[in-house]
Amino acid sequence: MKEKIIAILNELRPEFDFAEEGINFIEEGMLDSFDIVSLVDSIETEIGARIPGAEILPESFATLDAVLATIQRNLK
Amino acid sequence: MIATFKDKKITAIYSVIPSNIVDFMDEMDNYSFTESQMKKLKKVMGFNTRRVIKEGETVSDYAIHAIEKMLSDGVFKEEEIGGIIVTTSSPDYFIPPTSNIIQGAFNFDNDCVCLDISQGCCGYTVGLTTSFMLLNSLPQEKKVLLVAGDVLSNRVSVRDRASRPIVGDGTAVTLIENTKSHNEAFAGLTNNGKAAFSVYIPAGGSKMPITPETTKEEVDEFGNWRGKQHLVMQGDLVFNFIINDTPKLIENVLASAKEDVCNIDYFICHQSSVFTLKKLADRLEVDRNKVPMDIVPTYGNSSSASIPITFCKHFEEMYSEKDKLKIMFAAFGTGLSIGCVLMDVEKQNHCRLLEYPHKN
Repeated sequence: MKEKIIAILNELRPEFDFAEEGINFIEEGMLDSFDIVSLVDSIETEIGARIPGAEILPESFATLDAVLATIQRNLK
Repeated sequence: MIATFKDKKITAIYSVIPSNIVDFMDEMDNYSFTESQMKKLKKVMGFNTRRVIKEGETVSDYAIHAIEKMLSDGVFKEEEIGGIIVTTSSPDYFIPPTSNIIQGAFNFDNDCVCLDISQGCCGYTVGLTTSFMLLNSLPQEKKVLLVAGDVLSNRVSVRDRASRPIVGDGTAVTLIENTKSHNEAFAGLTNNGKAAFSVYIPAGGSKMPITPETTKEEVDEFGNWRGKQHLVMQGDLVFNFIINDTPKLIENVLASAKEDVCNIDYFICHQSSVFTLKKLADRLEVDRNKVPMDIVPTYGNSSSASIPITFCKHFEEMYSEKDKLKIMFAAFGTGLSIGCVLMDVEKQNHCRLLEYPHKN
Protein backbone atom coordinates (compact mmCIF):
# COMPACT_ATOMS: atom_id res chain seq x y z
CA MET A 1 0.00 0.00 0.00
CA LYS A 2 2.79 2.40 0.97
CA GLU A 3 4.48 2.00 -2.42
CA LYS A 4 1.18 2.57 -4.21
CA ILE A 5 0.60 5.83 -2.31
CA ILE A 6 4.12 7.03 -3.05
CA ALA A 7 3.58 6.27 -6.72
CA ILE A 8 0.32 8.27 -6.73
CA LEU A 9 2.00 11.20 -4.98
CA ASN A 10 4.97 11.12 -7.34
CA GLU A 11 2.62 11.17 -10.29
CA LEU A 12 0.85 14.20 -8.84
CA ARG A 13 3.99 16.17 -8.04
CA PRO A 14 6.97 14.51 -9.78
CA GLU A 15 9.31 17.29 -8.68
CA PHE A 16 9.27 16.04 -5.04
CA ASP A 17 10.48 12.88 -3.29
CA PHE A 18 7.56 11.59 -1.26
CA ALA A 19 9.43 8.48 -0.07
CA GLU A 20 11.64 10.49 2.27
CA GLU A 21 11.00 9.38 5.88
CA GLY A 22 9.17 11.67 8.31
CA ILE A 23 8.58 14.53 5.90
CA ASN A 24 5.48 16.75 6.29
CA PHE A 25 4.05 17.31 2.80
CA ILE A 26 2.00 20.35 3.80
CA GLU A 27 4.64 22.19 5.80
CA GLU A 28 7.20 21.56 3.05
CA GLY A 29 4.85 22.95 0.41
CA MET A 30 4.77 19.67 -1.49
CA LEU A 31 0.95 19.45 -1.51
CA ASP A 32 -1.57 22.27 -1.75
CA SER A 33 -5.36 22.10 -1.59
CA PHE A 34 -5.66 21.23 -5.29
CA ASP A 35 -3.14 18.40 -4.85
CA ILE A 36 -5.18 17.10 -1.92
CA VAL A 37 -8.40 16.89 -3.93
CA SER A 38 -6.46 15.23 -6.77
CA LEU A 39 -4.96 12.79 -4.25
CA VAL A 40 -8.42 11.99 -2.87
CA ASP A 41 -9.66 11.25 -6.37
CA SER A 42 -6.69 8.95 -7.07
CA ILE A 43 -7.16 7.13 -3.76
CA GLU A 44 -10.83 6.59 -4.56
CA THR A 45 -10.32 5.40 -8.13
CA GLU A 46 -7.09 3.42 -7.71
CA ILE A 47 -7.39 2.06 -4.15
CA GLY A 48 -11.14 2.02 -3.63
CA ALA A 49 -11.35 3.94 -0.36
CA ARG A 50 -14.02 6.63 -0.37
CA ILE A 51 -12.82 9.55 1.77
CA PRO A 52 -15.66 11.45 3.50
CA GLY A 53 -15.72 15.20 2.95
CA ALA A 54 -15.30 15.88 6.68
CA GLU A 55 -11.91 14.11 6.59
CA ILE A 56 -10.56 16.14 3.69
CA LEU A 57 -8.32 18.27 5.85
CA PRO A 58 -4.58 18.98 5.46
CA GLU A 59 -3.74 16.86 8.52
CA SER A 60 -5.32 13.78 6.90
CA PHE A 61 -2.70 13.92 4.13
CA ALA A 62 0.26 15.65 5.80
CA THR A 63 2.54 12.60 6.04
CA LEU A 64 2.78 9.18 4.50
CA ASP A 65 1.55 7.62 7.73
CA ALA A 66 -1.40 10.03 7.86
CA VAL A 67 -2.39 9.20 4.28
CA LEU A 68 -2.15 5.48 5.09
CA ALA A 69 -4.30 5.88 8.21
CA THR A 70 -6.90 7.90 6.27
CA ILE A 71 -7.12 5.20 3.65
CA GLN A 72 -7.31 2.36 6.19
CA ARG A 73 -10.17 4.08 7.99
CA ASN A 74 -12.16 4.35 4.80
CA LEU A 75 -11.47 1.14 2.90
CA LYS A 76 -14.74 -0.61 2.05
CA MET B 1 -34.24 30.29 10.37
CA ILE B 2 -36.70 27.64 9.29
CA ALA B 3 -39.94 28.92 7.79
CA THR B 4 -42.99 27.35 6.19
CA PHE B 5 -44.92 28.96 3.35
CA LYS B 6 -48.31 27.83 2.16
CA ASP B 7 -49.60 27.67 -1.39
CA LYS B 8 -46.71 29.00 -3.43
CA LYS B 9 -45.55 27.71 -6.78
CA ILE B 10 -42.83 28.21 -9.33
CA THR B 11 -44.48 28.74 -12.70
CA ALA B 12 -41.60 29.42 -15.07
CA ILE B 13 -37.81 29.59 -15.15
CA TYR B 14 -35.87 31.19 -18.00
CA SER B 15 -32.09 30.99 -17.64
CA VAL B 16 -29.73 32.97 -19.83
CA ILE B 17 -26.06 32.10 -20.30
CA PRO B 18 -23.47 33.85 -22.47
CA SER B 19 -22.80 32.33 -25.90
CA ASN B 20 -19.15 33.11 -25.33
CA ILE B 21 -17.16 29.98 -24.34
CA VAL B 22 -13.76 29.89 -22.62
CA ASP B 23 -11.77 26.64 -22.39
CA PHE B 24 -9.64 25.88 -19.32
CA MET B 25 -6.90 24.26 -21.41
CA ASP B 26 -6.57 27.43 -23.49
CA GLU B 27 -5.73 29.37 -20.31
CA MET B 28 -2.91 27.05 -19.30
CA ASP B 29 -0.23 29.73 -19.54
CA ASN B 30 -2.07 31.89 -16.96
CA TYR B 31 -1.78 29.35 -14.17
CA SER B 32 1.07 27.79 -12.24
CA PHE B 33 -0.23 24.26 -12.88
CA THR B 34 1.73 21.61 -14.74
CA GLU B 35 0.00 19.99 -17.72
CA SER B 36 -0.62 16.79 -15.72
CA GLN B 37 -2.15 18.82 -12.86
CA MET B 38 -4.41 20.62 -15.35
CA LYS B 39 -5.65 17.31 -16.77
CA LYS B 40 -6.28 15.90 -13.31
CA LEU B 41 -8.14 19.02 -12.13
CA LYS B 42 -10.22 18.99 -15.28
CA LYS B 43 -11.59 15.63 -14.13
CA VAL B 44 -11.69 16.16 -10.36
CA MET B 45 -12.85 19.77 -10.05
CA GLY B 46 -14.68 20.08 -13.35
CA PHE B 47 -12.36 22.73 -14.77
CA ASN B 48 -13.36 22.60 -18.42
CA THR B 49 -15.41 25.14 -20.34
CA ARG B 50 -17.30 28.07 -18.93
CA ARG B 51 -19.59 30.76 -20.28
CA VAL B 52 -18.46 34.33 -19.75
CA ILE B 53 -19.93 37.69 -20.64
CA LYS B 54 -18.59 40.07 -23.25
CA GLU B 55 -17.34 43.36 -21.86
CA GLY B 56 -20.06 45.65 -20.53
CA GLU B 57 -22.81 43.04 -20.26
CA THR B 58 -24.70 43.03 -16.98
CA VAL B 59 -27.27 41.12 -14.96
CA SER B 60 -30.03 43.46 -16.11
CA ASP B 61 -29.14 42.88 -19.79
CA TYR B 62 -29.58 39.14 -19.32
CA ALA B 63 -32.70 39.51 -17.17
CA ILE B 64 -34.33 41.83 -19.72
CA HIS B 65 -33.56 39.31 -22.48
CA ALA B 66 -35.21 36.54 -20.43
CA ILE B 67 -38.28 38.65 -19.58
CA GLU B 68 -38.73 39.68 -23.24
CA LYS B 69 -38.76 35.98 -24.16
CA MET B 70 -41.19 35.19 -21.34
CA LEU B 71 -43.56 37.91 -22.52
CA SER B 72 -43.34 36.83 -26.15
CA ASP B 73 -43.99 33.23 -25.05
CA GLY B 74 -47.10 34.41 -23.17
CA VAL B 75 -45.81 33.27 -19.75
CA PHE B 76 -47.35 36.27 -17.94
CA LYS B 77 -48.73 39.75 -18.52
CA GLU B 78 -46.86 42.85 -17.32
CA GLU B 79 -49.78 44.03 -15.15
CA GLU B 80 -49.67 40.75 -13.17
CA ILE B 81 -46.24 41.49 -11.70
CA GLY B 82 -46.30 42.81 -8.13
CA GLY B 83 -42.59 42.55 -7.36
CA ILE B 84 -39.14 42.22 -8.89
CA ILE B 85 -36.49 40.77 -6.61
CA VAL B 86 -32.88 40.74 -7.79
CA THR B 87 -30.25 38.65 -6.01
CA THR B 88 -26.71 39.33 -7.12
CA SER B 89 -23.25 40.16 -5.88
CA SER B 90 -22.48 41.98 -9.14
CA PRO B 91 -25.12 44.71 -9.55
CA ASP B 92 -25.08 46.93 -12.63
CA TYR B 93 -24.38 50.02 -10.48
CA PHE B 94 -24.26 51.12 -6.84
CA ILE B 95 -27.18 53.39 -7.74
CA PRO B 96 -29.81 52.70 -9.09
CA PRO B 97 -30.87 49.26 -7.96
CA THR B 98 -30.78 46.65 -10.73
CA SER B 99 -34.42 45.77 -9.98
CA ASN B 100 -35.46 49.35 -10.82
CA ILE B 101 -33.56 49.19 -14.13
CA ILE B 102 -35.46 46.01 -15.01
CA GLN B 103 -38.77 47.51 -13.91
CA GLY B 104 -38.12 50.55 -16.11
CA ALA B 105 -37.42 48.42 -19.17
CA PHE B 106 -41.03 47.19 -19.28
CA ASN B 107 -44.52 48.47 -18.59
CA PHE B 108 -44.70 47.08 -15.10
CA ASP B 109 -46.96 48.93 -12.64
CA ASN B 110 -45.37 51.77 -10.68
CA ASP B 111 -46.43 50.11 -7.42
CA CYS B 112 -44.44 47.00 -8.35
CA VAL B 113 -42.02 46.35 -5.46
CA CYS B 114 -38.36 46.58 -6.56
CA LEU B 115 -35.86 44.96 -4.25
CA ASP B 116 -32.14 44.22 -4.67
CA ILE B 117 -30.60 41.66 -2.33
CA SER B 118 -26.81 41.49 -2.06
CA GLN B 119 -26.26 37.73 -2.22
CA GLY B 120 -23.99 35.51 -4.26
CA CYS B 121 -23.96 31.73 -4.06
CA CYS B 122 -27.12 31.60 -1.91
CA GLY B 123 -28.94 34.16 -4.02
CA TYR B 124 -31.50 31.79 -5.46
CA THR B 125 -32.64 30.25 -2.18
CA VAL B 126 -32.63 33.61 -0.37
CA GLY B 127 -34.54 35.05 -3.32
CA LEU B 128 -37.13 32.26 -3.31
CA THR B 129 -37.68 32.71 0.42
CA THR B 130 -38.03 36.49 0.07
CA SER B 131 -40.38 36.03 -2.89
CA PHE B 132 -42.64 33.81 -0.78
CA MET B 133 -42.65 36.46 1.97
CA LEU B 134 -43.53 39.17 -0.54
CA LEU B 135 -46.30 37.08 -2.07
CA ASN B 136 -47.84 36.77 1.41
CA SER B 137 -48.20 40.57 1.46
CA LEU B 138 -49.31 41.19 -2.12
CA PRO B 139 -52.84 40.76 -3.51
CA GLN B 140 -53.49 37.07 -4.23
CA GLU B 141 -53.36 37.46 -8.02
CA LYS B 142 -50.02 39.29 -8.13
CA LYS B 143 -46.85 37.46 -9.16
CA VAL B 144 -43.17 37.97 -8.40
CA LEU B 145 -40.21 37.87 -10.77
CA LEU B 146 -37.07 36.59 -9.10
CA VAL B 147 -33.94 37.60 -10.99
CA ALA B 148 -30.92 35.62 -9.81
CA GLY B 149 -27.75 36.46 -11.63
CA ASP B 150 -24.07 37.18 -11.46
CA VAL B 151 -21.38 38.38 -13.84
CA LEU B 152 -18.30 37.81 -11.75
CA SER B 153 -15.91 36.50 -14.40
CA ASN B 154 -14.37 39.95 -14.83
CA ARG B 155 -13.90 40.26 -11.04
CA VAL B 156 -11.47 37.33 -10.99
CA SER B 157 -7.82 37.77 -11.86
CA VAL B 158 -6.77 36.00 -15.06
CA ARG B 159 -3.85 34.61 -13.06
CA ASP B 160 -5.93 33.26 -10.16
CA ARG B 161 -5.89 29.48 -10.52
CA ALA B 162 -8.06 29.00 -7.42
CA SER B 163 -11.13 30.79 -8.78
CA ARG B 164 -10.68 31.73 -12.42
CA PRO B 165 -11.12 28.23 -13.91
CA ILE B 166 -14.49 27.83 -12.22
CA VAL B 167 -16.27 31.17 -12.52
CA GLY B 168 -18.92 31.56 -15.19
CA ASP B 169 -21.68 34.11 -15.73
CA GLY B 170 -25.43 33.88 -16.10
CA THR B 171 -28.81 35.17 -15.00
CA ALA B 172 -32.16 33.47 -14.52
CA VAL B 173 -35.66 34.82 -14.14
CA THR B 174 -38.16 32.78 -12.15
CA LEU B 175 -41.88 33.49 -12.02
CA ILE B 176 -43.37 32.72 -8.61
CA GLU B 177 -47.00 33.01 -7.61
CA ASN B 178 -49.68 32.05 -5.13
CA THR B 179 -51.64 28.92 -5.90
CA LYS B 180 -54.95 27.58 -4.66
CA SER B 181 -53.66 24.03 -4.77
CA HIS B 182 -52.10 22.96 -1.50
CA ASN B 183 -48.33 23.29 -1.82
CA GLU B 184 -46.15 23.90 1.19
CA ALA B 185 -42.59 25.16 0.88
CA PHE B 186 -40.03 24.79 3.66
CA ALA B 187 -37.14 27.22 3.76
CA GLY B 188 -34.01 27.26 5.89
CA LEU B 189 -31.31 29.89 6.08
CA THR B 190 -28.17 29.97 8.18
CA ASN B 191 -25.20 32.33 8.24
CA ASN B 192 -21.70 32.53 9.64
CA GLY B 193 -20.65 36.16 9.36
CA LYS B 194 -17.50 35.46 11.36
CA ALA B 195 -16.18 33.80 8.20
CA ALA B 196 -17.50 36.53 5.90
CA PHE B 197 -14.10 37.29 4.44
CA SER B 198 -13.51 33.73 3.28
CA VAL B 199 -14.90 34.89 -0.06
CA TYR B 200 -14.51 38.57 -0.81
CA ILE B 201 -13.49 41.37 -3.09
CA PRO B 202 -11.39 43.80 -1.02
CA ALA B 203 -11.59 46.94 -3.18
CA GLY B 204 -14.42 48.67 -4.99
CA GLY B 205 -16.79 49.34 -2.11
CA SER B 206 -16.83 52.14 0.45
CA LYS B 207 -14.23 50.54 2.71
CA MET B 208 -11.53 50.50 0.03
CA PRO B 209 -12.21 52.54 -3.12
CA ILE B 210 -10.28 51.44 -6.21
CA THR B 211 -7.11 53.46 -6.75
CA PRO B 212 -4.01 52.86 -8.89
CA GLU B 213 -2.43 51.46 -5.70
CA THR B 214 -5.18 48.88 -5.10
CA THR B 215 -4.99 47.57 -8.67
CA LYS B 216 -1.33 46.59 -8.35
CA GLU B 217 -1.24 42.81 -8.52
CA GLU B 218 0.56 40.79 -5.86
CA VAL B 219 1.42 37.11 -5.81
CA ASP B 220 0.36 34.77 -3.00
CA GLU B 221 2.14 31.66 -1.72
CA PHE B 222 0.41 29.48 -4.35
CA GLY B 223 1.41 31.61 -7.33
CA ASN B 224 -1.92 33.44 -7.77
CA TRP B 225 -1.63 37.09 -8.88
CA ARG B 226 -4.40 39.41 -7.78
CA GLY B 227 -5.21 43.08 -7.37
CA LYS B 228 -7.44 44.24 -4.52
CA GLN B 229 -10.34 44.57 -6.99
CA HIS B 230 -10.24 40.83 -7.60
CA LEU B 231 -12.19 38.09 -5.85
CA VAL B 232 -10.31 36.12 -3.22
CA MET B 233 -11.57 32.76 -2.00
CA GLN B 234 -10.20 30.51 0.72
CA GLY B 235 -11.37 27.35 -0.97
CA ASP B 236 -10.45 24.94 1.81
CA LEU B 237 -12.38 26.93 4.46
CA VAL B 238 -15.41 27.24 2.21
CA PHE B 239 -15.29 23.53 1.36
CA ASN B 240 -15.26 22.55 5.04
CA PHE B 241 -18.12 24.94 5.79
CA ILE B 242 -20.21 23.43 2.98
CA ILE B 243 -19.49 19.83 3.91
CA ASN B 244 -20.04 20.25 7.65
CA ASP B 245 -22.90 22.75 7.81
CA THR B 246 -25.05 22.18 4.71
CA PRO B 247 -26.19 18.66 5.71
CA LYS B 248 -27.28 20.01 9.12
CA LEU B 249 -29.54 22.63 7.54
CA ILE B 250 -30.93 20.14 5.03
CA GLU B 251 -31.72 17.75 7.89
CA ASN B 252 -33.47 20.55 9.80
CA VAL B 253 -35.56 21.50 6.78
CA LEU B 254 -36.47 17.83 6.21
CA ALA B 255 -37.44 17.49 9.87
CA SER B 256 -39.59 20.59 9.64
CA ALA B 257 -41.33 19.10 6.61
CA LYS B 258 -41.55 15.67 8.30
CA GLU B 259 -39.92 14.32 5.17
CA ASP B 260 -37.36 11.59 4.68
CA VAL B 261 -34.26 12.26 2.59
CA CYS B 262 -35.10 9.17 0.49
CA ASN B 263 -38.28 10.86 -0.76
CA ILE B 264 -36.46 13.81 -2.33
CA ASP B 265 -36.43 13.37 -6.10
CA TYR B 266 -33.59 15.81 -6.78
CA PHE B 267 -31.17 18.02 -4.89
CA ILE B 268 -30.62 21.04 -7.13
CA CYS B 269 -27.54 22.58 -5.58
CA HIS B 270 -25.39 25.61 -6.11
CA GLN B 271 -22.69 24.48 -8.54
CA SER B 272 -19.55 25.17 -6.54
CA SER B 273 -17.38 22.37 -7.96
CA VAL B 274 -17.83 18.75 -9.05
CA PHE B 275 -15.65 17.57 -6.18
CA THR B 276 -17.66 19.44 -3.53
CA LEU B 277 -20.98 18.20 -4.87
CA LYS B 278 -19.80 14.57 -4.94
CA LYS B 279 -18.68 14.83 -1.32
CA LEU B 280 -21.92 16.56 -0.30
CA ALA B 281 -24.01 13.84 -1.96
CA ASP B 282 -21.98 11.18 -0.12
CA ARG B 283 -22.33 13.01 3.19
CA LEU B 284 -26.12 13.16 2.68
CA GLU B 285 -26.06 9.47 1.72
CA VAL B 286 -28.01 10.15 -1.46
CA ASP B 287 -27.40 8.72 -4.92
CA ARG B 288 -25.06 11.07 -6.80
CA ASN B 289 -27.49 10.87 -9.75
CA LYS B 290 -30.00 12.81 -7.65
CA VAL B 291 -27.54 15.70 -7.42
CA PRO B 292 -26.85 17.14 -10.89
CA MET B 293 -23.22 18.34 -10.90
CA ASP B 294 -22.31 18.91 -14.53
CA ILE B 295 -22.77 22.68 -14.68
CA VAL B 296 -19.25 23.74 -13.64
CA PRO B 297 -17.62 21.69 -16.45
CA THR B 298 -20.02 23.03 -19.07
CA TYR B 299 -21.02 26.56 -18.08
CA GLY B 300 -19.01 27.40 -14.95
CA ASN B 301 -20.18 28.46 -11.49
CA SER B 302 -22.48 31.42 -12.05
CA SER B 303 -23.10 32.11 -8.36
CA SER B 304 -26.72 33.28 -7.87
CA ALA B 305 -27.78 31.78 -11.21
CA SER B 306 -26.29 28.33 -10.89
CA ILE B 307 -29.35 26.64 -9.35
CA PRO B 308 -31.90 27.77 -11.97
CA ILE B 309 -29.40 27.05 -14.76
CA THR B 310 -29.01 23.52 -13.37
CA PHE B 311 -32.79 23.15 -13.18
CA CYS B 312 -33.29 24.29 -16.78
CA LYS B 313 -30.47 22.11 -18.15
CA HIS B 314 -31.88 18.98 -16.51
CA PHE B 315 -35.57 19.83 -16.83
CA GLU B 316 -36.47 17.33 -19.58
CA GLU B 317 -34.73 14.32 -18.04
CA MET B 318 -35.93 15.11 -14.51
CA TYR B 319 -39.56 15.23 -15.59
CA SER B 320 -39.41 12.35 -18.07
CA GLU B 321 -41.39 10.07 -15.76
CA LYS B 322 -43.16 12.38 -13.30
CA ASP B 323 -45.20 15.56 -13.59
CA LYS B 324 -44.37 16.70 -10.07
CA LEU B 325 -41.08 16.42 -8.23
CA LYS B 326 -40.06 16.98 -4.63
CA ILE B 327 -37.01 19.17 -4.95
CA MET B 328 -34.51 20.40 -2.39
CA PHE B 329 -32.84 23.57 -3.61
CA ALA B 330 -29.59 23.98 -1.66
CA ALA B 331 -27.07 26.79 -1.89
CA PHE B 332 -23.91 27.60 0.03
CA GLY B 333 -20.99 29.97 -0.12
CA THR B 334 -20.52 33.73 0.05
CA GLY B 335 -21.46 35.15 3.41
CA LEU B 336 -20.75 32.51 4.52
CA SER B 337 -24.35 31.48 4.08
CA ILE B 338 -26.43 28.41 3.42
CA GLY B 339 -29.98 28.42 2.13
CA CYS B 340 -32.33 25.52 1.41
CA VAL B 341 -35.86 25.40 0.04
CA LEU B 342 -37.84 22.17 -0.10
CA MET B 343 -40.96 22.20 -2.26
CA ASP B 344 -42.91 20.32 -4.87
CA VAL B 345 -42.30 21.72 -8.33
CA GLU B 346 -44.71 20.80 -11.11
CA LYS B 347 -43.65 20.14 -14.67
CA GLN B 348 -43.81 23.46 -16.43
CA ASN B 349 -44.41 24.41 -20.00
CA HIS B 350 -42.13 27.37 -19.43
CA CYS B 351 -38.58 26.32 -18.65
CA ARG B 352 -35.90 27.44 -21.07
CA LEU B 353 -32.11 27.69 -21.19
CA LEU B 354 -31.24 30.53 -23.55
CA GLU B 355 -27.97 31.85 -24.96
CA TYR B 356 -27.46 35.59 -24.82
CA PRO B 357 -27.05 37.19 -28.24
CA HIS B 358 -23.87 39.24 -27.76
CA LYS B 359 -23.85 42.55 -29.58
CA ASN B 360 -20.05 42.80 -29.96
